Amino acid sequence: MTVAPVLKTTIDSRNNHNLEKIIPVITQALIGEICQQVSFSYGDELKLHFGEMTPCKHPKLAHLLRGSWRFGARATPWMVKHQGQILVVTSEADTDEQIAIAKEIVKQLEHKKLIDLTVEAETIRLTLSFEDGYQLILDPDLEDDSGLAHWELFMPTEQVLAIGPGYFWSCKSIHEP
Amino acid sequence: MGKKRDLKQIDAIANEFHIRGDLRELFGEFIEEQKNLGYGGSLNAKRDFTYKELREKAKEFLEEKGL
Repeated sequence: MTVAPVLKTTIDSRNNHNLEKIIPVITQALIGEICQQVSFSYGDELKLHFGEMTPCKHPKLAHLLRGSWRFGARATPWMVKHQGQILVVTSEADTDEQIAIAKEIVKQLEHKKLIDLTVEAETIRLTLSFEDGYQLILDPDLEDDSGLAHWELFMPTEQVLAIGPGYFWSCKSIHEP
Repeated sequence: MGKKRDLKQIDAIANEFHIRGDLRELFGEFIEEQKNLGYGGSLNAKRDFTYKELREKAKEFLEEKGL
């Protein structure tokens, strides 16, 4: 397996136009992949699995499958649209009932092909566009001081692309501290 | 959706135990699966974990992984 050179940089509002150009290049190979599985990690973090599905390499999780590409929304609220209509919008203040409904709705992305990924330079809005008119949209809070990334993408190259906090982004080996 | 407090706790404990990269990601899935399997924590009715319980789970995670 080839590991691409480590890219690590910090950008700010003066040069963040690079983000909308660089991220689609890094994620180009993801386009055309099928969303094989939607899952949730601890803290109700949304995960989308793409590519080849293989069993987890942990004895207690060997019954679970994970994709060679894994997108994690971290704590960023997300929205699902279909044919331009909003199906669900999440927030950190969601009730348990709202969370359960949102989890069901976002499963509609399963088995859909990803056809585009865009990042808006100013807002860092991420739009994942799927076949059949589905979209998953993340609107990061650029003022958030939690220190968490807005979203991250684990790639088959054993690299992880992390966007946030703020305009910070990095693409580095998963083996790097 | 996506609770900052929970994610920050997972990240902090992962850092403490040198659980990095995709192992940190796997640790979050391990904790969620523990809840799903009935081995949840005592924080609330949803069986979320206290910080102390998460630290214990981190040790369990690493032991089971053979690390």
